[in-house]
Amino acid sequence: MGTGETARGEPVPERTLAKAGPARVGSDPRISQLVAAQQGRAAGLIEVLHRLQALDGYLAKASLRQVAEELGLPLGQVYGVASFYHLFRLEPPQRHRCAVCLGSACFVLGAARLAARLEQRLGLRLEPPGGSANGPPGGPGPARASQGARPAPGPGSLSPGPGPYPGGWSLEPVSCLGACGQAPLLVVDGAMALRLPTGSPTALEARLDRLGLPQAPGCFAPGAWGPGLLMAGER
Amino acid sequence: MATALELARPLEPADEPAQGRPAPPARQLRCCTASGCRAVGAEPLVQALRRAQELAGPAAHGLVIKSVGCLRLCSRGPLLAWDGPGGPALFALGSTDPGTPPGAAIGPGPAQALVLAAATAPGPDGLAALDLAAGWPPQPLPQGTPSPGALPGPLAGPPPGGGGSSQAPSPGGIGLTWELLDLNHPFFALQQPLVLEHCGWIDPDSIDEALARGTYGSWRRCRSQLSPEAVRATVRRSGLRGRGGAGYPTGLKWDTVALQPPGPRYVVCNADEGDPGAFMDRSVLEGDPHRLLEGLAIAAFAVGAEQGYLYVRAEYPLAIERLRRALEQAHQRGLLGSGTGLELELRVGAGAYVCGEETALLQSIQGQRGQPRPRPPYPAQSGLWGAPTLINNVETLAAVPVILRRGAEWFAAIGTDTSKGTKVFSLSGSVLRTGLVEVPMGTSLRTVVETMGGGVPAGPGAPGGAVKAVQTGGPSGGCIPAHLLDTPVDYESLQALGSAMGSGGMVVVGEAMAMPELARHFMHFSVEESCGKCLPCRAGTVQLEQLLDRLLAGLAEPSELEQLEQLCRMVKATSLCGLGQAAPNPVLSALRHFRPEFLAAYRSAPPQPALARPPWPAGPGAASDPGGRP
Amino acid sequence: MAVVTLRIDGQAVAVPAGSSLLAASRVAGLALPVLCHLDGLTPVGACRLCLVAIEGQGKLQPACTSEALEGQVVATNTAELQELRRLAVELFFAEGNHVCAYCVASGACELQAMAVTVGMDHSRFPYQYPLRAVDASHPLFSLDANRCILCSRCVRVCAELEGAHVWAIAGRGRHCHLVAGLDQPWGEVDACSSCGQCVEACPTGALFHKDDSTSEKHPHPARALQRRRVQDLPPRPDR
Repeated sequence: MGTGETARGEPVPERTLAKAGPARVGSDPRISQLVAAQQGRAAGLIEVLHRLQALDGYLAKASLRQVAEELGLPLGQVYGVASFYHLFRLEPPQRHRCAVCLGSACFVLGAARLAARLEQRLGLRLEPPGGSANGPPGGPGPARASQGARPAPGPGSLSPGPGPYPGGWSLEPVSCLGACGQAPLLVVDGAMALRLPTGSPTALEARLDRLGLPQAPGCFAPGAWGPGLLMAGER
Repeated sequence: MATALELARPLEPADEPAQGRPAPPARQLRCCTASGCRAVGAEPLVQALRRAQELAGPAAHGLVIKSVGCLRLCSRGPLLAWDGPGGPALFALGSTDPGTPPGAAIGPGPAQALVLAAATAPGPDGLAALDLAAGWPPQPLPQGTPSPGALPGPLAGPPPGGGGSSQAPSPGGIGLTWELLDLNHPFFALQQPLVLEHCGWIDPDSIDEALARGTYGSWRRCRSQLSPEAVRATVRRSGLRGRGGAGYPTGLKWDTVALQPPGPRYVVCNADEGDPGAFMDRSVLEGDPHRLLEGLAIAAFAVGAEQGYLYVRAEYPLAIERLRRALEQAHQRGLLGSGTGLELELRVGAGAYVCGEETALLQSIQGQRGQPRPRPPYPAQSGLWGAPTLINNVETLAAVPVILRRGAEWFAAIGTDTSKGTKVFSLSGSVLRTGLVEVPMGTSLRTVVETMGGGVPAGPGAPGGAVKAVQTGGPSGGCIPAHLLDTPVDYESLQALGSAMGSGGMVVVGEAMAMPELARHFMHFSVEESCGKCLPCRAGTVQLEQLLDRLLAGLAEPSELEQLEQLCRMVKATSLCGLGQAAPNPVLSALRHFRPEFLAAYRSAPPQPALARPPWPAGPGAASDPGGRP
Repeated sequence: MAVVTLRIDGQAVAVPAGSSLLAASRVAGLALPVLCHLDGLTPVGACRLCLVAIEGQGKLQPACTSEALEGQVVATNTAELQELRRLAVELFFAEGNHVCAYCVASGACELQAMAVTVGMDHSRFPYQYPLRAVDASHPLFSLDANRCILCSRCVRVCAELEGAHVWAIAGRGRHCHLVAGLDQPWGEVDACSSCGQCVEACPTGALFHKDDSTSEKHPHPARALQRRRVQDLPPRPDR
């Protein structure tokens, strides 16, 4: 039985806890083990969520409910924590993941141009990882390759509108992968690609092809980035 | 003033009380396997070398091959340090294809040549003559051929061919280069490894190697001879200030915690190094974890804490792995855990830059959303679960053991009047030499960025060495323009210029980068990382980003500049925590030092219809050209 | 019990030690603007409207979470603070979708009253028009997230006074939003006891009784001290 605490540090009243106790039918024994490994402490919530996501690839609502029950925490508090941290995914991950480093060192070496090209190629918008950009209840979820188009951004935004979605890819920004000496960087399905030639569209395209990145139907050919956007010194 | 100590030479015995520092093995290859070199295949390289050693038989038996932490010049990795006659020497394995990690491309033949060469070469020059394709030993050179070590500029980058390096076609046709690096070059010679004194020498997974070099010696002295008051007094007299960015006097913080009313206390190590481009703390965690554990243990002793936490960001998996192993080893040896009066626990972050802020970090350790708390009360008074809590940065804690060992006065003699000791910087961006640099406080920016770092490399549209600005302090800091590069690096000087030392990340910016674009990049980061608790940061940074977007798109009216500055001041003055308070800094600093560039971007006439919307696609930052990598 | 004396806007006040600066300001007869504060709930210092200037300190401090200390000299209504408050209210209005014309709380809304107090009748910031939802699943009440200013009063009253812990803030940064339970429809959260305290605590028209129509949300009488009706406010200051 967990020792739940409110944000104020007080014990959570008994009546507000889902009835915890011996594992119920349908409950996941792995979660009970993870909770036991943290001695049932409410402070161990983030550790439990890390290990749970390592097992399942994401945090399902039913799992979050069981975690809340066994740690003796309110449902909303657990959901609030799971949705706060960008590394926690509340939806199953896509089959393929592309992460582009937008740290400062990569940025001054052209990572923004790399990210723009990836958005075009994959037909996706850069999405903070974990889908925590879900927005309010009932609102549309983040653009994922298998779902519908994301609504157009508000006025003042310069991002491209919704586009076609090749199956099974997600595009995430990360801030500093820690290999600044090899900037700019990309990680495709766990494999790191280094020193991407952001100053040369054709060379960049060739590297992206080698990495197995698909081309969304209707995406612009490399180099055709619009008038005024060709780089000085490039032809 | 302490002597400048080179990476190559172990600390001279004359500088130190009798220490019994062990000499390295007669023949050794120290291979950097920190994250930077891992990205270029350090792990497969080490495995290939070990396999080659087995196959090479008795000729290579005398060679010790080991994994070590950061060898400093990250842009030339994978790096290998060689201990042998006339050594140590530092070598870089390169590849002719910039997209191929050299360590992954080395085949069995070249690996064996390397191993044999390391085991038998008469000296560094001899090892430098290694031809990875031709094998070992090399054929005698024709008369008149200059010896490899004498050729100029070995640090300028892999030469196109010949001279100090050799090409070896591996399977797949990738050529490998092998080059001796010049340890007398200022990049190495001006470093003073104090926090990083063991980094690159020891296998971070071996507690025995750490112990042999004296790690945990100060901790043992604490427990057997010293009092908490004496330890705190030493740290106070040393002048050590927080290395996480705030620069708060460490001794004072320790005293504040220690002097709270009796009751439980906690110590916390802030290893949530979130600034993009900063990897100083990571290098300590990956290269010398026991050093950090010792520092944290001493801190706990000094303030009377029996429970401590190390909070590491999840994006550092290698650091987490090495720390876990180090904790286990320290427990096994009775250096931590029951009987020592200190339990340490590792906590992993989950992707929130704001958790680098002290009170947000505490919330995260408590299993909650990483939202900062109002201060006062400060953590020293009311921290984890309301108890007095000491929070210190990795580098701060890693400096403590050597302060205790060498003395407060020795430490205080290094640096400036107000900023004592050394500082570790991670140099990255548009700079020739990316890597880790530890120098005395007060060293000028120009020395670090140009003399050691080599300035901005020559490229299309950028003459070599044309630094435009140096961004210090990450998203909370600001830029120092080129004409102010003689500024000494210390807390006060950088603050006076509208920037901050920050945790030590230095991103070099070349002429091709537009400052409004860089400002927008940092503001976007703050938007994404804001916790959302307080209005000014949550909503204000969004508006600031949009003002900058309009500027970059050529849509902004001149009157918006005043609005930009006014909102920057409001967010700075009213935000709850340091993230929001410092979010406008990159903008304000760019406006201060590069105002004409901003003014030029504001429209002076109403837009023509054709320019009302930028052409699609306009991804992030597409409006201007940051130069890019050729 | 120890007593501390301090000066607020030139007035000397004496309060029990441990009182907040906000409480001390009320003893002085001042009505500091507040939005996230509600007597009886743990103060969080989130809206930043009650920031005051303490002599000798460079940073402004929120009165609701700062302890009143002996000898402090505090200013609550400087020109700088007035400007900062107006900018804050403009940011609030631009952040959500606040349309007073048909809002259930119009006339008795604390955000609206704050706009009048700081002299704001339009926002200089572009409206964000976020896509927010309405949750009408509960039998008695509704949540219109368009009007939510994330003050977290509902979260705190439900956790601290009712003990039901129905509400929480999810997401991060500009994506923060109110959720019930595990991001469930409010009507499906078992823990809710339908006490209505969150509706009473909500300063805007975000949480309201289903029975109420435009301008019909009225504050509970016990909240008289925290509420001001628009018509009771002094005339709008000259700009």
